[in-house]
Amino acid sequence: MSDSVAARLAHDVGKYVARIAHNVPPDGPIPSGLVPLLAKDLYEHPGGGRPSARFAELAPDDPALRPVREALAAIDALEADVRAADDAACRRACALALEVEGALRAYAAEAR
Amino acid sequence: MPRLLVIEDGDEYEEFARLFLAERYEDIVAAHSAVEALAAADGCDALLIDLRFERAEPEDLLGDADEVAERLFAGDRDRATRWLKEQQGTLILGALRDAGHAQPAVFVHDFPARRVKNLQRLYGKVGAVPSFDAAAIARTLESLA
Repeated sequence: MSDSVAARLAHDVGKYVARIAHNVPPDGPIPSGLVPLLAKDLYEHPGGGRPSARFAELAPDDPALRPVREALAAIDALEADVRAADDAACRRACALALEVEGALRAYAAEAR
Repeated sequence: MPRLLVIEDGDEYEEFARLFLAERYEDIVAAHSAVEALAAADGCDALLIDLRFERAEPEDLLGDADEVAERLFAGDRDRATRWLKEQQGTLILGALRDAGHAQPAVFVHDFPARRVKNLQRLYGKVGAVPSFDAAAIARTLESLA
């Protein structure tokens, strides 16, 4: 695993997928104005496509990354409910996004 | 009116700053290259910088790919261009410092501690926050002010 690829995973996938997730209010419903931006982070990668697709493009076949792959698949499965502003789905997707970011940061740190 | 200059290759930082940092920075301006950053830096109170400019066109990157290729990559221009993209935020910060802009600067990047110390040695008031955590970014900018 090159540290360059691990750094790209942490930057291209981890950092952006969790951008809004880091800042949703801890209590109460997620403000409706944040939902489209949360959906953008979760389903529209800045470089085009989905974060899960970007991950698949970059990630090596490493068992250590299986939880990230699974979390991104779970995020994808929540898309309809997230876009419909279902609060429980948005909260679950935020938690998964933070898991993805944390795991990819740890992976990048280990590769350095 | 505190003004924040956001330097990035897309629009995600600007969007984030307008949503979550607007209470502290009433004016938020964005730059997408060194040229734009140098043009916008006067009057800004702080800098929020992306490190990696993956989406930038090679002609918009600061740095001489041929020189970097010879110096670091045995003449490999593709690797040099990739390196310029991966380090573009620090290169732009260096250009801003050379032009006399000493504002506090924060990167949203998970730098190793030794790298942050080196950036501070080179460029003064520099901090790093590993994620888009608005509270942590605001605290870091305030601590550097």
